Amino acid sequence: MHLIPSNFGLLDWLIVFVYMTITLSVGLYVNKYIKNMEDYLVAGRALKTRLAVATMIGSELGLVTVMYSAQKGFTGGFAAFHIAVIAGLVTFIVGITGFIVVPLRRLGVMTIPEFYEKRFSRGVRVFGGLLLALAGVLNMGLFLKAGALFVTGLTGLTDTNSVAIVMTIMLGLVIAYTIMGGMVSVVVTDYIQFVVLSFGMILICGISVFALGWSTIVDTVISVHGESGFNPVLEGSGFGPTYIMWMIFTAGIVSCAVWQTSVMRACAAESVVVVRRMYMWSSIGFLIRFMVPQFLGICALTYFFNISEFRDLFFDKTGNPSNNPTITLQAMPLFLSQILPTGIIGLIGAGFLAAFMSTHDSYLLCWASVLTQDVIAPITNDKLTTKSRLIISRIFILVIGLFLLVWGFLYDLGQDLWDYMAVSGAIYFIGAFAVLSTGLYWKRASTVGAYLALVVGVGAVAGLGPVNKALNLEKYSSAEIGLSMTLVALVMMFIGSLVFPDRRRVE
Amino acid sequence: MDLWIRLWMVIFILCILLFTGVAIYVGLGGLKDIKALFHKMNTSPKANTGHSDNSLKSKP
Repeated sequence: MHLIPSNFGLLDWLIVFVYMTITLSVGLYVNKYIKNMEDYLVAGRALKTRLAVATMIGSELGLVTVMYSAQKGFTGGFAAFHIAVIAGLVTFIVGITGFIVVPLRRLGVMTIPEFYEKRFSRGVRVFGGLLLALAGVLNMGLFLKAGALFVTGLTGLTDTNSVAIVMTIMLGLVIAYTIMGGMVSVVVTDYIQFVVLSFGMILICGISVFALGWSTIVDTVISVHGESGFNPVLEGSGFGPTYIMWMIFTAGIVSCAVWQTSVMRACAAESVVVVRRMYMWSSIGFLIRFMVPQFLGICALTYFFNISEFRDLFFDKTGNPSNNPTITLQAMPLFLSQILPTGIIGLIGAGFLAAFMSTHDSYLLCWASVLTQDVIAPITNDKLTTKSRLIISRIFILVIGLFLLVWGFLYDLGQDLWDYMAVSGAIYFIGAFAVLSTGLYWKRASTVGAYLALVVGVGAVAGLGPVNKALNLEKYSSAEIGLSMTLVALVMMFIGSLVFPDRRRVE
Repeated sequence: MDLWIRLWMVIFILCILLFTGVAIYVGLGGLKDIKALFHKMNTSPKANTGHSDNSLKSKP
């Protein structure tokens, strides 16, 4: 890949440096507003609609989202757009109905496992919290690798040690301001990132269409993918009906209403009215965060397919996209490094790197909070002071950061990054969906049912590339495994609740 | 296939236009909300125990 030179120059590095310095300074400055744990975790529950929308989109529009969505666009063509449409529509419907998020906000919880305790038992909270944090940390395990590939592709850095150093420094900066400022710094840096990236991505789309031409883009997708590059329902398109169902669940319901980082935003909102508005407004952001990067992936496909000297790097001899996930991941940043002029590329690069930092800060804070509030604190019978909780949260942030460094460079991906993310997250969210939906809307849901559903959810790990191969389950796709486990988790929740009702309810 | 091509083109253009509107609205309004957030946090009471409202602890 290093055969392709980049337009990224000294001026661009300067822009990145200035941008990062400003973001970091703001993140550290807002530390003075933190007075207690609620300020630290949910910004004092004082987010109004527009800021809540900015932070929700800013947080979910991370570099990793951009990378895996671009990869889907590269490997799936326009048919990948169905993921974006589903994400937008389902988020809007969640906003209208308030499904899961409104009752959670009414209960005043800060994390999903906190709801488990209110509704079921302390044991379910600790077990659910542990699962959530483990799945969450595993889910973000490849963020650093994706970030490194982006930096390599965009800047033209070829020395892997240099990339590792850059990524480590960036991770260090994120850890520093997340530890100091908690949710307030996350919210403010998310806002800055939202502004830069939103307008930056619209600009890139314009430049790409202008440089390549819409008809060339469409013709190239037809040449490479045929009809399956447009029709996601078509069997053999790499998607198909089962995959679409899986996306309705993962990219739709889960990513906005069950995934802890999104739910945290709902919990931080000023009121349930703000929650509903936030989801309705954010739905377009949830759509765009997939669609624009997918389009950039399609543009990368077009660009490299039509330049003979690059074609062999990204396509096999029959003209199909490479089967190597690392190569398809790197296509989009390499494309940007070719078409964006010096100056613009620095600003866009800085925006994406800020996005990388923003996702990390949200996720680090989220999983560290869950481990502190839902695992450690309940085990110690809530005897921890606010100060102790803050210290423990900060230690967890540091430990998770170190894990990311190791895992990101050791794990062999072996599948599309998006599929890795969906499956690793499923370890938590399959059980969580069953527990949340029945716990909130079915009076007879019981503690035993909750335990069973959470345990079944762990089975989703079979969809991960290496585990799938090891268990000889390659004939089943991760979507088929995920959907099956979701149904089993719901069934176990019902059976467990009916056979073993909660004693208090029976009395 | 032509139907799909037209469909995705229309959806893409509409979404970009819609998102541009949202980005302007949220970008401008978000600044005001940040000021309101800081003001509210400055005037809020100090340390608590780290719990959310446990008086809500009841089964639905």
